[in-house]
Amino acid sequence: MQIENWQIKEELKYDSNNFWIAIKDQEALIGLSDYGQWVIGDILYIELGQEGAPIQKGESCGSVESGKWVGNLIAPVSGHILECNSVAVNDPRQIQTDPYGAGWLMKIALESDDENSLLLDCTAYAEFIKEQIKNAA
Amino acid sequence: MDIYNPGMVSWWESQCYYHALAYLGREGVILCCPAEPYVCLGLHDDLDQEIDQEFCQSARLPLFRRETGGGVVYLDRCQIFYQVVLRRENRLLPLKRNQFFFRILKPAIDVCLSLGIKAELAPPADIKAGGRKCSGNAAGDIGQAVAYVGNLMLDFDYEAMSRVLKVPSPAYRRYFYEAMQDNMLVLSGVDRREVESGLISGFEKIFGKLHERPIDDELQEMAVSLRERLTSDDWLSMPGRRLPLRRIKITEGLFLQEGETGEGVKALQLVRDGKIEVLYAD
Repeated sequence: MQIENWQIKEELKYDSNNFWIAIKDQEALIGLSDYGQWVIGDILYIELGQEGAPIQKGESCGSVESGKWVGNLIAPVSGHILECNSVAVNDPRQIQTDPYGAGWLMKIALESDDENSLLLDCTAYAEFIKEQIKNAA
Repeated sequence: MDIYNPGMVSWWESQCYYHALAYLGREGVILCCPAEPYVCLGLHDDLDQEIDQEFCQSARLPLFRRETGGGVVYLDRCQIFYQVVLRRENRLLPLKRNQFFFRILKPAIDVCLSLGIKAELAPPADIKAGGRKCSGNAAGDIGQAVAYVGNLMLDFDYEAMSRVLKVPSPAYRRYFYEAMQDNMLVLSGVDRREVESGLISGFEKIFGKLHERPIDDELQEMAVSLRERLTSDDWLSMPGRRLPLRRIKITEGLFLQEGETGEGVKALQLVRDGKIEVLYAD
């Protein structure tokens, strides 16, 4: 699915902080959506939580720097970090050129079974983006 | 929109007030100036890589790590700070945070223009005149707010700045000092009150009438509690961006950096917009 210049993968879930989430069994792979990486701009540096560390949905799980701005990465799910993508950390351009592939950010062991139902599907996320664009206009 | 104009404040208050506003979810503009010199790291700066801690200790320069972007800066009373805190839902904020520098830096640019200095934005967030930097700026999401912070330099202590940063050799330090002198500009001889009133009228064009408020108890208490965290050893020592070769940003697009010439030989270069401008001999 394409919304303006941004690709939305239909098989993924999303949240309002522009993360995509792929849940399989009790694990989630997460990354920034195409729209999310565009909003941030050229990423100079990204800091992710430590492997093994707990993360809480709605709380910071890392930070990102673009231009002279820094912002928090807000965790889309709760659990603990199994793996961080060192390729993306060492070369943040991966997040921008391939946000759904080589630019993934973290693998999370989920705390509960019902995370999936709380996330946006691609249609709801597309509406969310349209609303953001409309409000910013 | 409120404006706080406490004038000269302590070194830590000059950073903690805007963090406090942000964490309290209060919007406002702050104009201030630190009474004492100090060194301020960006959120992702690596203390061990960046700072000559021995020098800072001997010169009694305190350290602070802010929650905004950009690099290490030496700050003192010769700089006027402007700090703007907006709640994230503020409709003035564009989707891309860096784009707001175009708007938020206009008051500082207009002050320069009114002084006959042909200043313009050097994206994302420097203000330059004739290619020389006269204002550094940064931004960050803090709590449920966004802070845009920057300064206008009435003078700048190049010597102190060149001593504060960790460098690989005395030659590097000398070239760093010279590069700053050649590429930075101060608004010398300018009346501080003139700058402040220019900034206020510029921010009023963006936000409407500004209501002057004193630093209240809630703000002061929050600032005091943030001071402890933002100057703690754990916070300052937080690991950050590390580079294999020393590279210092002088201004937007201008770097003094070590380059490898082959067989492990390092050469010192001044690189402007990706091109080597000077290759130093030693």
